[in-house]
Amino acid sequence: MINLEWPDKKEEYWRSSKVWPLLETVSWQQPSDTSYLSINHKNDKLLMDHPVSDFDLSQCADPFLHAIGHVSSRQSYLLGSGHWDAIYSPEHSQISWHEFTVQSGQVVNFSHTVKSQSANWQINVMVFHVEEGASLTVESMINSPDFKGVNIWIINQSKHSNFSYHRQHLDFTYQRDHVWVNQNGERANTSLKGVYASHGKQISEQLWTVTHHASHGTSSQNLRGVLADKAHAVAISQVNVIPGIAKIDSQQKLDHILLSSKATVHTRPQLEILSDDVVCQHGITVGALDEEALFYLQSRAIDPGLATNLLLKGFFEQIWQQELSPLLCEKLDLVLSEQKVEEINE
Amino acid sequence: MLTIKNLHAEVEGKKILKGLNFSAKPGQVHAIMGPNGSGKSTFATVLAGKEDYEVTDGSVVYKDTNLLELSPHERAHLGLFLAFQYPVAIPGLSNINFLKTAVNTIRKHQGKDPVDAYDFLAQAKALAMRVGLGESFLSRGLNDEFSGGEKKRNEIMQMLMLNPSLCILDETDSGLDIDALKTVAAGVNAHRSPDHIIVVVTHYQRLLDYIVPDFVHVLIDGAIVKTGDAQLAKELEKKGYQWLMESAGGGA
Repeated sequence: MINLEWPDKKEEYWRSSKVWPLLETVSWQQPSDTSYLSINHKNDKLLMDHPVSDFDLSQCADPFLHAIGHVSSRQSYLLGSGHWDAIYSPEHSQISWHEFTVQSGQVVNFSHTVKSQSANWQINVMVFHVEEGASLTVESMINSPDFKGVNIWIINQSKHSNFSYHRQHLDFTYQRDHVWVNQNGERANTSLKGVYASHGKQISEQLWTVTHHASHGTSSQNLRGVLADKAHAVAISQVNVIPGIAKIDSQQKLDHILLSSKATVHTRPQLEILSDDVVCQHGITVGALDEEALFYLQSRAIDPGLATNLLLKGFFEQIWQQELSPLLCEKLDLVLSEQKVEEINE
Repeated sequence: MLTIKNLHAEVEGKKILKGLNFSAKPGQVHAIMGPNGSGKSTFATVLAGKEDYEVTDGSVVYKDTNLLELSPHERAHLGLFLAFQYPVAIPGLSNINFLKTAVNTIRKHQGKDPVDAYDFLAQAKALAMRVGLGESFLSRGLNDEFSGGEKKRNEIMQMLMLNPSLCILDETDSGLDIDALKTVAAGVNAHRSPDHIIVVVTHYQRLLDYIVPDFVHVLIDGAIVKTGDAQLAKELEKKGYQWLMESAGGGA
């Protein structure tokens, strides 16, 4: 049993969360040989399956991890160029820590999927060190209806490195997605983008932070969500520029569409700019479907249901800039069909 | 046959159409002209079925069907097409995907199989070139970052692709330079046929130099106050609308 004590409950991040009080009641399981993180090189043999082991995080500077205080698994890996598939399938409540180094000049595509049949709470910490000139793309997906947990991504970028983060939330009960990016070297580039559709009573929380510790860096954060029924979301994006850093070009955009009057989103771009000579664009939108666009499509013979579907897929594809996964399309269809049922009932 | 009788419509309690009567037969081209605020765009939008516009009286019958009882997409199934004055931009939804969905929806309503993908693409490319849009416009977001003229060309391309039997062109000439005007007019003229009704809503006579109407109607204060042939448009160009507004006892 781990006693979770939150050190700073006044912090607005956490006040916006509906779930933190629940986390305090969780009994975290001790290491078990039934919990695995499996990592496979594409078309290659299994790299490793490991049983979990204890790790103490109580001295960690990060407030969230400090609060957790205890990790039941910690492993470190070196990643060479190529495509890596990681499938995370925990069985018990656990806190795991995985640390990766992308070596200088390497180009890595890291696909991370959470597939869990467990209704127990999970906290999963992923740390990446992206060395000079290396490129890392993380494709992250949660597709487990019972998933309740927190994924924490800590990225340390060296100079001339690139980091791209593509996030799809498909199915979950509660998910919190922390991304902390530290641009420690000059001329680093960061791109974070995510799309998700929530329905029922799903709770989704995205907390993304990029901190520019070095000059000539670029960063973009683009998140789009569609919420139906009584779904709730928190979407907070932050850019920090520390004193003495110059020539930073950053952009934040958080857009949400609410399909139901009972769906809610708490969203905000945050900037902490302690230096001159930086460009930081930011904006948020929250609104209903564009009635003019809906009418336009209907005037072209497209029925309201299909028109809504096309608009929402377009809403996602505009930032996703690639074909949406069939799973995400299925999720949208499900959200819209259930939303229709709700409207009829009302 | 399109028959409109005593049409009254309002927006947010403001009466705009006040007893409009109009009829058109297949093969005819009608022009609706009038000053600002006379109700031209409301007339076009009411026919297309936008919910914001409340019809308080009158009837609209097309192909023996009461249009007012149909939703916008059902009206389109019946053959109605509105070329918008201000076409909506939908970033993220590609022009070609949108167009294919619309074509297949209509085909499905007509009991036909979905269009062959190869044939559809070839036709779309040909039509895009015909209205002066390059092939690249097909893969771009629907009207996304299109100029005003490009949006109007896109409307005409959609019309030619969907092949509707009742076309309402709402100020399609606004914002067009002379070359775009000729191209758009050529597209509309190509759609003229004994089976189609075309209704051109416009402020100015210049579009009617290229799309010669069979009938010209003057709409003032929500009702048609005068009907004539193509010469009436030239007369309006010389004399303006004031003389008709005075005789109608209304104002714009």
